[in-house]
Amino acid sequence: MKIKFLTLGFLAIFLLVIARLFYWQIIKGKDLAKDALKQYEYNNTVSAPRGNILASDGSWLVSQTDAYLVYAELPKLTKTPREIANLMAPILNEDNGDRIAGLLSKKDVVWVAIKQKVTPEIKDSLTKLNIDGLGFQKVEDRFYTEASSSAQLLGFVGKDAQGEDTGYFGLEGYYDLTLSGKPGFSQSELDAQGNPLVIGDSREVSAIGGIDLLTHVDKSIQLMAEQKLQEGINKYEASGGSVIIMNPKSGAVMAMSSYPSYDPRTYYDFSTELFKNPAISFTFEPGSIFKIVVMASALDAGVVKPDTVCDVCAGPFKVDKYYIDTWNNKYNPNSTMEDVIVHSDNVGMAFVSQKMGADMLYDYLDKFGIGKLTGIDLQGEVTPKLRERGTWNVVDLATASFGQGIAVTPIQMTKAVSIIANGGFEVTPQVVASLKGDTWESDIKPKIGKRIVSDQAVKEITAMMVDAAKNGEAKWTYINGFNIAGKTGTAQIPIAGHYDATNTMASYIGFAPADDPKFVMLVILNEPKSSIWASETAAPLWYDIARQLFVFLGVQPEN
Amino acid sequence: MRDQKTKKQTKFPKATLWVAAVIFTAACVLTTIEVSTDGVEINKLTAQEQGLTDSQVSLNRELVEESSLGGIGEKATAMGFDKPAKTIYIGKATEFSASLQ
Repeated sequence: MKIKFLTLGFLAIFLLVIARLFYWQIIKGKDLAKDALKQYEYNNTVSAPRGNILASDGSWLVSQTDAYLVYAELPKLTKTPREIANLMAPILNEDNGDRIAGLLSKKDVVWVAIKQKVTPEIKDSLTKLNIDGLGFQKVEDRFYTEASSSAQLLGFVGKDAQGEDTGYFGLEGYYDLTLSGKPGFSQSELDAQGNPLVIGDSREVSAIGGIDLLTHVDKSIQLMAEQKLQEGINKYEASGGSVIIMNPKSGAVMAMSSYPSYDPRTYYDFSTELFKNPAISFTFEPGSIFKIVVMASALDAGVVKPDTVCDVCAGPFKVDKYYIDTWNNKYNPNSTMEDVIVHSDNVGMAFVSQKMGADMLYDYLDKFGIGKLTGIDLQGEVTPKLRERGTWNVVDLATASFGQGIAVTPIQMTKAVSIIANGGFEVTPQVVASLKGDTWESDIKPKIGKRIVSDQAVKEITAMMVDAAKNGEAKWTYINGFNIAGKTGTAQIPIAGHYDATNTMASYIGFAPADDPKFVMLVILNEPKSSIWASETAAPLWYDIARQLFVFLGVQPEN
Repeated sequence: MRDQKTKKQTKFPKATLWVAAVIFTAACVLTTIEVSTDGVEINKLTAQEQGLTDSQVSLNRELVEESSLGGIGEKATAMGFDKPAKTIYIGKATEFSASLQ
């Protein structure tokens, strides 16, 4: 009986053990295996460094670097929040430690981020404080070599909805995918001391670093243009402005600057309005600089010649129920087309537009790229639409001929004049010259399109522009000895259905040397107060920058 | 033949077995030690690699900072460099030499 009882007892215990083993091995086996894996398996995401953005000489405009996120594990803190805050505040350049103390005093939280993206130097200083519970996590950061320079051209790197680094605006936005690269992954098994097991399982997928962008941007020219623009804005008391400098033969953008701007390192402290690059997104009525495009079209179409006489230029010109007058109310009877450009004669341009007709003008503007995106490789380009073909009335036609009632962006205007400077062939503005990997480089070829206007028309309009630069209202600022083609533009600003009575947009566009252009440049000043006229504001600023460009680009005087 | 083989196997000396067991055990112990030592070594090398990477990043940052054209301009001005306000273009050499005659 005893033996039977013992046998049954052992059998019951055996069954219990079997049941328990079944529970651990079969039912809970997967969960336990996962928990065990966590203890000896080490997973690590290998970050892919974002590509650099380089100037034309290969120097850095934006470089990828490491930074640190400073965090605190609240349960591990051994000092009071106020004590820690007082120690950290001077290193983090904070006036007082209130913000830090507030973060460290949070209830029901075990982990708080104290400061994003601090430099390795700051991290070292904080490490030396030996604060228990303070930690650092390496993160990637962008370093802007020239500080806030070229911000709107470069864009910035922020976070997307998933918290991942993403480029916004400018080059960072347009080339985000190229710059981003692909993160890698490594997995290995560790022993009890945390050392990798040589015979353990290990897997590694290498990170693919982002690709560098080598731009056409000439750092010397960019910085000079920025400095001159800011000086010009201050001198002429303008509310803002833009400068675009481009090689008209290749479309290479050598410099592009606008003001006001922002600091890409602390973009979150600025209004989002400043993120847009006015050079590619600001729409304005171009005024007299548009006359170049219309006259080039008329010359190409053969409806006028340089010596065609304007027979309506003796006084104000009636169109429908409106009168078109000149900017200075001085009239030039029997002006030739060259005189019309030199005197920036609105009446003469209305005469030209009547010779062309609305549909022909529309077709030419379309070919010049007005009303269409230029295709520049920057995120954020916009375009105002041209009024539909066939819907233009006589007033629309007349006013468009002198750049009123029609809107463009600065880059569209630069592209249109580049077509003239490029011998009549379409050219696409381009910021990036090539893509650079670790062991390879791929050039981005200039995009030269079809012929827009004839060689003869190009020569004629260029001669008119040279004459306008030498003898027009901005002749006082002309640089003797250099062969420059240019045109001023003073445009009224439309506000809620009428034009601003006091403020103007002053602009100057031109290229040099006129017979073999090395650059085309557009200067725009918004609402200058020292004078409303472009000849007294934008033109001298244009020539001030041009003087420096001649030196940078090795342009010699003719005599 | 088969009988002979069986006989040989059964006559396998105990000492040989012990030697084999000792060698096997020693090999296992040595391999384990080697593996764990290699792990420590790999860990050290990984830490060293990370340290070098950090140094490279730090040096690269320093290089990028120093290459700032704006920074160089500021330093140049602070050191007394005065940018020429006016560019002077010199005419042909023949004209210059002619003027000396």
